Amino acid sequence: MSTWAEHKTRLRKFLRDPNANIWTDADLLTIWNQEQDEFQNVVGGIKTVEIVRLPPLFESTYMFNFEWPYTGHETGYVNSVPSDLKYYDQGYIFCTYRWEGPHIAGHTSPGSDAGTFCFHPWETWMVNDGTAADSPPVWAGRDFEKAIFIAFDKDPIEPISKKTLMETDISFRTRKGEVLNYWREETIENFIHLYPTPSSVSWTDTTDDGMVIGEVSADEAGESYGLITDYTGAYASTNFGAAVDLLDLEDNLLVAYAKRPAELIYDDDVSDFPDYFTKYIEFGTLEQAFRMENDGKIESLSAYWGYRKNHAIQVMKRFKFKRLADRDLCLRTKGAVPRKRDRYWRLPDTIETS
Amino acid sequence: MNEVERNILLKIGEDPDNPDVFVEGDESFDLIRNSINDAIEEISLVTGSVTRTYKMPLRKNANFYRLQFEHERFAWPVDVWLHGVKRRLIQKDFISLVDENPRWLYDAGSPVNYFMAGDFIMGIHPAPSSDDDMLEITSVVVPDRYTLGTSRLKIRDQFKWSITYYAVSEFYASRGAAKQATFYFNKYLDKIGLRLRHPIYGDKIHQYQTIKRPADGRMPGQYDDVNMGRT
Repeated sequence: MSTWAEHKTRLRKFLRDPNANIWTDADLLTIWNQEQDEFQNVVGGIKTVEIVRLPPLFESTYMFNFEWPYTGHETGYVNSVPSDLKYYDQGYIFCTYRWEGPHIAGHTSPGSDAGTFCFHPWETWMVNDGTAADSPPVWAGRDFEKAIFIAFDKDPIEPISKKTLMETDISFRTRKGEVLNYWREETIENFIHLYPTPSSVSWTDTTDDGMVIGEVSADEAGESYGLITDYTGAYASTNFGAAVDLLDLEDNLLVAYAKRPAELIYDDDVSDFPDYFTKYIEFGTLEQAFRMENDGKIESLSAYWGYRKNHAIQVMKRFKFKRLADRDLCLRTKGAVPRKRDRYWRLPDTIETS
Repeated sequence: MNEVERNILLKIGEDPDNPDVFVEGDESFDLIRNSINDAIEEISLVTGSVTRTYKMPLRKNANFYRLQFEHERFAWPVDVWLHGVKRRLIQKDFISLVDENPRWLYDAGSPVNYFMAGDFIMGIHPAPSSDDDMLEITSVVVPDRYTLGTSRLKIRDQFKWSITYYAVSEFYASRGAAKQATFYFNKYLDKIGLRLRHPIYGDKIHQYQTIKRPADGRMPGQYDDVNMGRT
């Protein structure tokens, strides 16, 4: 996989600016990240699968915006509460319970909140009486953009809007039970909320031997060795074939989603796009670079690289279509009503009697 | 130096036997080699001409497998063959799996379907119930980038001139000659026949059609000798 440093070297060769006299590294990096995003929008997302453990792990939880630079957000997900109802805007106060804000302002509080407020999301499953006052956020995946498929404990769950929940269940925040749906409070964060909140979670993934992403070198790899592992035992390893990921689906979320490509920052960063597509991002970068208002502006070269970029988009679209080459197609009478299959829960193939 | 590299040097005015600037092993020669590798990648993606079969052992109760090939880079699957049972797996996706059986993740047994869960993650359904079997995944791959002049170019011979024009185009672009670069890139497109030989859709199916003819043998639209008018 090519690093940003290698892409930079290639770009500078085509720009004929090896010493960054005209285009600075920052210029090229900014354009690169823009072009990467544009390819994502035009050609479609990078798709991946992740297991999200429950209870969700966060680097930290913060209250005020000034804390953001110190939260460790660059290394992991951070839970933010300023956007939550706990923040009383009129007084610039962070309150634990919703009724505190009006009370501080001298008004009669609307009533007590049901349940216990939790600061960190994992505390939801540690309250003594078992009732948390809020639905805890669960991060949906790194650079999450759009869900393709989500399952909790092997059962698929469907998206639902907060509006529908509010209309159908006055206790949607505190209800616990079998998870049926997920909803999003807002979209600035990659968080989803499960409805109902799972009654219990498995804590066994946090043993000393377990990590969210770890490596296993033994012949047996089980739950105690983590959620996503590279199996290097006797049967499957990179020396003997494709590496196998063992994903522990029980009591965790399986999220298949389209992700935003992460922006490159450092010289050793690698693009999320497959290696054989990154040169097309270079074309777009060159197109923009040659169009910048500086001494290096050459519109004919910009047009040439733009032409290459348009061709590249066609290649990528063709690639996406070819991925379905093995799909079996069915015949359907023109004009006929499409076959609609009612979605229903099926009985299990076997039923245990004892 | 291979044949393609020699052709490129000829096109750009260098003597392949005694080059002035693009000497093999020099940093300047990397530009040409990179362009050749880029062309090979693109042609393999467009044509799907390079395929490999990978043996992937199945793990008990494992639905998802990350396709991290040591050699070459995975592009898309063509065939997935379950070796022990001698069955071809059918390609599905999340939507059809959920539609047919919402509890599909609970299923275990002999795999019947596969699906691409991510760009490089393949899912199997049902999850294998034992460790005994393996999949033979025939997939279109993008060849690794070559680094030596004696390495094999993993592309069909008919594309060698396409690669040449691609690289020559990038050479002229690096020199600032946009017109020449565009000219050679168009030649690359024409040579590879993207529009004609490798359409997105599959092969043509030729069909016969019956043209109904009246009993008197006249074709529709023919003049009537008596009335001098069209029939």
